[in-house]
Amino acid sequence: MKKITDMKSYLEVKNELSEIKKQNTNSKILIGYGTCGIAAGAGEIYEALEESIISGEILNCELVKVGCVGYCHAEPTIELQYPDGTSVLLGNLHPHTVPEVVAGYLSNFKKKGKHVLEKNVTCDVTKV
Amino acid sequence: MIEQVRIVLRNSGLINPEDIDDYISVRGYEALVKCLTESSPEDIIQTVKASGLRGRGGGGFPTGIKWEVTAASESDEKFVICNADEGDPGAFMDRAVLEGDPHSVMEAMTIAGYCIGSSKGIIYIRAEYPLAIERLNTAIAQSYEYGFLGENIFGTDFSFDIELKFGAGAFVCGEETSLIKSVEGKRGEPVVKPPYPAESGLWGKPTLVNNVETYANISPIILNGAQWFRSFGDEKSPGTKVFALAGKVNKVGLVEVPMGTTLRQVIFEVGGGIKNGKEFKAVQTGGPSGGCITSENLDTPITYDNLKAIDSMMGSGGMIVLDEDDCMVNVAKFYLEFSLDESCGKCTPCRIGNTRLWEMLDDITKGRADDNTMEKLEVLCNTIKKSALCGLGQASPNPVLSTMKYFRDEYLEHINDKKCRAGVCKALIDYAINPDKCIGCTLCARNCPVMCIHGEPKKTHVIDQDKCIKCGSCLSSCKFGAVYYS
Ligand SMILES: Cc1cc2nc3c(=O)[nH]c(=O)nc-3n(C[C@H](O)[C@H](O)[C@H](O)COP(=O)(O)O)c2cc1C
Ligand code: SF4
Ligand code: SF4
Ligand code: SF4
Repeated sequence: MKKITDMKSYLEVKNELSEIKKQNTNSKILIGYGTCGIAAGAGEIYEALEESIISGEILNCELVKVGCVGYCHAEPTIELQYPDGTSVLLGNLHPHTVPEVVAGYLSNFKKKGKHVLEKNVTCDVTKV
Repeated sequence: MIEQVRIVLRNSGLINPEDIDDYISVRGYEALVKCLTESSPEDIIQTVKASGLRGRGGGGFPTGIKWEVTAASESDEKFVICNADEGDPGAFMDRAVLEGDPHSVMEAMTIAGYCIGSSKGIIYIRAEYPLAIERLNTAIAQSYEYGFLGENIFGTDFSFDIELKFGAGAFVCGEETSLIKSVEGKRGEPVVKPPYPAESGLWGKPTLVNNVETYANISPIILNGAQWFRSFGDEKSPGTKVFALAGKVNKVGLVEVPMGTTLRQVIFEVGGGIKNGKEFKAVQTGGPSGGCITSENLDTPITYDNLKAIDSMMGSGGMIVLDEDDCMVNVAKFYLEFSLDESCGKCTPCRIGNTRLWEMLDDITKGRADDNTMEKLEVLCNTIKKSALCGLGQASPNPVLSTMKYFRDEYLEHINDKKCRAGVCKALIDYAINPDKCIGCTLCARNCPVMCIHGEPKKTHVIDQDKCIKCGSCLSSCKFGAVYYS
């Protein structure tokens, strides 16, 4: 791994990472994997989605374990990030139905339904 | 509709906390690079001061001033401590930050080390947070690989290491002097302040103690400037606050809102209102050191000073919503019981005073209190507040005082009429069956754990009051609304 020594080398590393991110045309499935999420069954959700990816039921997707977004009342939650940067946060998921739900939202971002909690969760700091 | 503003939780749930590259790609560690290679410690401290950031661990002390004082203390060695003890019942903000974005806290601690002239950071975290500990360990290891931690960071003469220290989960160990004793391997008992840790802390050296959430605000302030930070919140309490919303509210969870948001907005807009359409009664903020806020004050903008003015406090950000089914005397007793359990026992006012206070509350809930109880309660509360050694004892009567002030009628009802309107204080209620409504279905009799409901099928049932243990099971089992309590 490259050691960072000053702003220049930092920006090189950062830009390279951003570039890799940009080139990645996969959608991302972010699973809320904090203590709260795990207690609510995030582990089973992860396994169910992993199986669907291996079996090819869900295509062009990466699974990522992330922290908590604060929707404890709707755990387990996942956020789908589309390659164009838009996203949708889904909650109240069940391991049996989650592959189907995810597949549905992957093909149609605009879809509405009982699982949608929020769209395009953004972060003020990265916008700057 | 009030919008959440995510500064502290900016990355939580969006990046992989176990991959430093994810953090870097959202400008992670840029603030550290900027500080070490472009700014002097004085400049950074000025920025933090100008931002108006106040400690999120409960006290609300201005962070910039704390950094300045610690920087000014002369010593061959200093320490930076992150207080991740988080012992308030119902609070889990710090855990969410550490599990979701551990680097943001470590980056800020390193910046703090540079500012005050320390090369040693310690994160004091309770052992009950294994996942946070695991992710912190991963994050620390990755950070060394890039050179964000270690010897001569970015080729400067500044070096910094971070180490974890585990707490056994005692509430009092969140108090900074007690925390320091615990890190030293001694019993977690508070000592008198002053001297403050900024002058004499860990091993007698100047020590900076800040809360997890306080640190999580630092990098955005450095990157975007003090004015940007001040554009959120209130003049005297800038920025945002993360609250752990719990209790009888529809959307339990973490919310991050600008300071100055009203309680009504948090509970009814972000929190989606009260569960099951029940009536809002009060909201408890500040945990065992805070108080209950009634509907009268729901439109108070949340700031450190406003909450104090209505006899509560910000605390670390726990917010427990209570509805008509909650008995306020019992709520006060619950918090006092917590303080009593967690008292370290070092000083008499807290150890014995709180025990007596608890007994008086217990008397009230059991119908044994008399006309003098209210007055005695009040005197004892104020004595404990004035004479306890540390913040735990000094604040422990707060839930009692605030409920006595805002729900005095409920206390008097318990004492004089031996009644608990919420039906919580078991000793004060009697279950009975209304003969006009009972159809004799026998369900209640079959559900009664002590078999004290008698009656033949299809005939009115009767409760044997002498044997009834007031479990309430008959009330919830009757489908005809025949069981009632008084
Ligand atoms: C009984 C008691 C418990 C405390 N628990 C915590 C805690 O869990 N986390 C915390 O950050 N501060 C806690 N504090 C406050 C700390 O003593 C200290 O003020 C704080 O860590 C300073 O950080 P800040 O200025 O960033 O808020 C507690 C104080 C008392 C009196
Ligand atoms: S006030 Fe309570 S917790 Fe604090 S030192 Fe005294 S006995 Fe210990
Ligand atoms: S459950 Fe209700 S209706 Fe049935 S016997 Fe008991 S009191 Fe009567
Ligand atoms: S309250 Fe419980 S113990 Fe008493 S009569 Fe009803 S079911 Fe029996």
